[in-house]
Amino acid sequence: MDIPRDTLLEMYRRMVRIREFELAAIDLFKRGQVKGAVHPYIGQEASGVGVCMALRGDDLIAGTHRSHGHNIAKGADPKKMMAEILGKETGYCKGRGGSMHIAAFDTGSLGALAVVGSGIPIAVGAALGFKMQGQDRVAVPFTGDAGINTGNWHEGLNMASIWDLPVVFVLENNHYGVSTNIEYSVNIKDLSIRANSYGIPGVRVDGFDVTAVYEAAVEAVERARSGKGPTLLVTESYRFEGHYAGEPEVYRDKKEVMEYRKKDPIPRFRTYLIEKKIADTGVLEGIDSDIKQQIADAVQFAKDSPQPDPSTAMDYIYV
Amino acid sequence: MAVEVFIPKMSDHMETGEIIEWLVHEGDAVEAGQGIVEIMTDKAAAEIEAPATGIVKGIRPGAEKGAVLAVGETIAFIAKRDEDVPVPPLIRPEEVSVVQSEPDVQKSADNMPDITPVARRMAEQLGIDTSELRGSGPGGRIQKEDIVVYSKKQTDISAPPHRALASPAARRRARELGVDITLVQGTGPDCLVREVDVNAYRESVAEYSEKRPAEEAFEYIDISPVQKTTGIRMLESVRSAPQFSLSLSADMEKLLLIREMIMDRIQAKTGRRLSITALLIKIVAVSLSKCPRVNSSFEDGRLRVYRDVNIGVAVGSTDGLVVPVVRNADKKSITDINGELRGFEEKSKGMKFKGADLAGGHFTLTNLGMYGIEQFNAIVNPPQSAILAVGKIMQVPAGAADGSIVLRKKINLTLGVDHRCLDGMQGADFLGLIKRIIEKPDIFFVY
Amino acid sequence: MFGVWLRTEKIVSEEKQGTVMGKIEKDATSLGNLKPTMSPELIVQVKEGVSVKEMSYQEAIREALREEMLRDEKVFLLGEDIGKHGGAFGVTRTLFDQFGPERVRNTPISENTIAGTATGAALVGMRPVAEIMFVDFSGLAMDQIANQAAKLRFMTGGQCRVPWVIRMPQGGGAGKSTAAQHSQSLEVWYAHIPGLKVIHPSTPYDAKGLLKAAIRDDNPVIFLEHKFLYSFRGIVPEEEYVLPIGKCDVKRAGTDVTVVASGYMVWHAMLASQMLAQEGVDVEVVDVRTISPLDEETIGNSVRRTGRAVLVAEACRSYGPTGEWAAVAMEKAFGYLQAPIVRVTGRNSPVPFADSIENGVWPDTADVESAIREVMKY
Repeated sequence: MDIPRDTLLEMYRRMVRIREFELAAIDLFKRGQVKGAVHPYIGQEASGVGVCMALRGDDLIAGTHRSHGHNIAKGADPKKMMAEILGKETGYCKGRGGSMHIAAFDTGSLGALAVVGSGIPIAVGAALGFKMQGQDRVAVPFTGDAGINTGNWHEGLNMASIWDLPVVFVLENNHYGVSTNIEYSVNIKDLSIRANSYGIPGVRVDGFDVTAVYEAAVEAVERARSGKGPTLLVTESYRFEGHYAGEPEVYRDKKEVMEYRKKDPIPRFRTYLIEKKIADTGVLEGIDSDIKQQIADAVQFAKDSPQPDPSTAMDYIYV
Repeated sequence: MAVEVFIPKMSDHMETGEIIEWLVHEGDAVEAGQGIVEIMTDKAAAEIEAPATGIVKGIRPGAEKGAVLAVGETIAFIAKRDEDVPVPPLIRPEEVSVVQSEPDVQKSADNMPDITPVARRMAEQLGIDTSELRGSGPGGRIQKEDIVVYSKKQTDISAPPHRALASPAARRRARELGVDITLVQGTGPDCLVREVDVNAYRESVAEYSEKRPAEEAFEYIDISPVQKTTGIRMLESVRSAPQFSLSLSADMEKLLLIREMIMDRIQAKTGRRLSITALLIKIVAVSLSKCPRVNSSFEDGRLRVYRDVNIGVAVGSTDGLVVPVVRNADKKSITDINGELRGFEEKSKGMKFKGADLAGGHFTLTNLGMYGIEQFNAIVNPPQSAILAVGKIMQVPAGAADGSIVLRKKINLTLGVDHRCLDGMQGADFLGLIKRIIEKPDIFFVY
Repeated sequence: MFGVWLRTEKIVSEEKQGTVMGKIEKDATSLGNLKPTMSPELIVQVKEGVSVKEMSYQEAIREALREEMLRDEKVFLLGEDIGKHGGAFGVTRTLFDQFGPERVRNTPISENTIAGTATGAALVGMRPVAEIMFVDFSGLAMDQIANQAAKLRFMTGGQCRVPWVIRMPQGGGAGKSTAAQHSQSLEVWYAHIPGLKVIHPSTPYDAKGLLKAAIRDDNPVIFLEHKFLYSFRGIVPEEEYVLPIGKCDVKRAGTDVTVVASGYMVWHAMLASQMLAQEGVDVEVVDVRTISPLDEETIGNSVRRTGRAVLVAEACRSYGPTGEWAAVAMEKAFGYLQAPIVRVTGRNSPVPFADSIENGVWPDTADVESAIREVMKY
């Protein structure tokens, strides 16, 4: 597939933005300035960006607890995201949601949802809504390999399949559900074959290769948008950090992590861009420093913002 | 055919009878109408007569002297000599409510009731005499809780004696109307005070005040806390204790002479003139030690007879009536008593009494003679058994031994009695003893 | 007590139906020595002079769905067997024929995703009305209902709204013998989740008006229908009407005691009041209608006036709705209470099958009567 230069550069930008954002979030967390927990997406940038770049602004994604990356990939503003994880009034959710519930409706993100798999039925419902209203929008729920065994997942795939809904089910297989390896949780090697149970196509791609993910996503989205129904898209990825920032990671081997780090999608893509003469080092480094600055600004913005006023504690419960 | 002998109902309210004495034995021959057993009913002793001629058989096991049986219970049969009679079930002493004498409290070597060190320390701090306390621990051992409860009862003069059971609506209404809810008679379940009861009470009070002419000028005066408490306690006394009074006059001539004789000495020693009240306290104390039943309180259906003679003396103060206590008055000298009364007088100016001063009284003496009152009936101070009201000394005509009329200085003594504790005779005995001592005051030499 | 329904009278003549709500006591005295029975006349809610029709609770719900689907094309139904079959309780009968499979959507057995799909569709502009066959099954959908739909608006700081209705039959009926997993009253599960509204109507009139309101409400609404009431008939105005969510309905004004009830229990309360009216006890019956958010004002004002509260709910005693109502009555009316607050509730037990022990699991008219007598002692 011939991918336009602008698209490729935007992919790079978004991947770097995710990386810098996550590093900043982890740093803030370690300094005790972020409460609760953060679940870094580091290492999976290509998966999220590849998919989201294939989507339109009015397509909808639904996330997981690890959705900083998804939101940024879909175009969310890092300032409002950083403010949200610091629990400030200027955050996307006015401080009500925090890291695990960041939603950016204006960029087509239904939000991070903390209960595993819970975004799937919701995305299915959104797709139903699109179809019933004659819109050609697409709903894309993300899930990790750990979500593949939930009732949410099975019921959602089934429901979308019987009604031919415009959904692309993205399964980011990072091989671990918290501490449990995927090989323990399922009896199959290739997760994409589960699509067969529902009579929908199942595709499997290298989640470290952003262009591969992109190509597969474009195809799946086109299928959905043209009314041909849902697809299961499995991206093989890995998270370089623990399940949450600061986790001791007793369940996996340091050697394994090191091996996967060699596949880091960002340097890999940088190499690709340079080799394909899409951009040179100077341009890319320029992007890098711009993004770094953007994230630094976002952090400052978040720190300077106020927390929600206690008098508004009961707002937004009911319409 | 065997004929039952049973406890008959001999009066309206009789529910049980106590066996005093069997007049026959198992196997004796009796005639119909012959008295076979003496029982005590609720009023008097009575004989149960044999209902038939025959042999007394099957005297009920346990139906012996002191056993209390319900009306209708079988105690024996009259039958033929060789006839079989049924055996009624054994009467166990504990199945029937027998008025027990106070169980012996385990005493330690110095004849004081057993007491925990904590309780002893606490009692010392609070000035509580533990000799009259019965503890809740094993063998009557006095524990900290007993001290706490006792001291709260004695010193809490501001707490009302009971809290009304009332619905929230009734309480609210009472607050609105300024009605003291403890005065309202409740008509709800368990005598709960209902809102309608509060309204009815208010109306009945209003009715009374409405009858007075509207043009009457008046003002409201607050009743002091002490007086309020007195009122509450007196109301409780009148409501709960059936009271009667006994009155007599005692010839004071001899006592007054002796008083004159010792006046200077006592005044020098105590800084106070020897009062009639002081003398009467001593006389009453001695009388109480001779009539211990009067030195008592009514408690849970029993008479709590105290060892120590503690006499409360009604004293008027700026805030109302208080009754400080002269402890162990029978063991104190008249000098001591007079000195104590001086102390009471000083404290009464500005209400400097402490709780401990007012606690532990077993009998009350109240003297209104100095106010010109000749005779009055005082209300028993709950939970005490009796109270003595003293009037002023008056010179009245009296008959002399030779039939002439002479003027004698006499004083009226009226004893108020709680009929649950003492009857007329017991009260009369006591009052009579006081009179005898007054009229023949050899207490100074003998006692 | 089983209802004996007037199936012959379809249209009730104007003079017969014109009883203004609250004048039931007139009927009571006119009954003379006749014992009141469970019948539509017990609860009349329509004003005089209004053109009406008579219909069952089930029909009223269907009418509400029909009217709202005609009014707004965004309204659609989804649930198990609601299509041709017309739903397990026949509520959606004829709607499939009228609106077709797109708007009356059968689903596979996937309670969780029925609720989740409704949530997703609602997020993007539709107004779904989902059906979960029995409230007893709703546990399977609990995450989507309680963790997602109820909280999405709050978690996203107001960026979205979830305007769905989930209809669920609940409750038991003596002799229905549907036993433990088909007979529960679980309104408190949902009443406890902020962000949800919970409605439980007792009459056809209330059912229709409140369902329309629920569909038009932009919040997620749990609409609990009492399965035993489906066949109860009542008078419903011909003209369109919508009832307010979050308001109790005083079904009978009275002065001596307030009976707070919901669902089928309202009927027992009304019957008990009629019987007691013959003894001179004037009972006020407050039908909660909206379990959450609870109209505390109406309950409080009523108990203040009468000073006595009897709370009747079918759900089992512990942590049931009567606990909440009792606290509200106490908080709002403490200083005016003449008597202790009395609860009449379901037995604290799963519902058994055998008649002999199913009987008595739920309160009936006699239970309400004796509770009223109890508080009248004060």
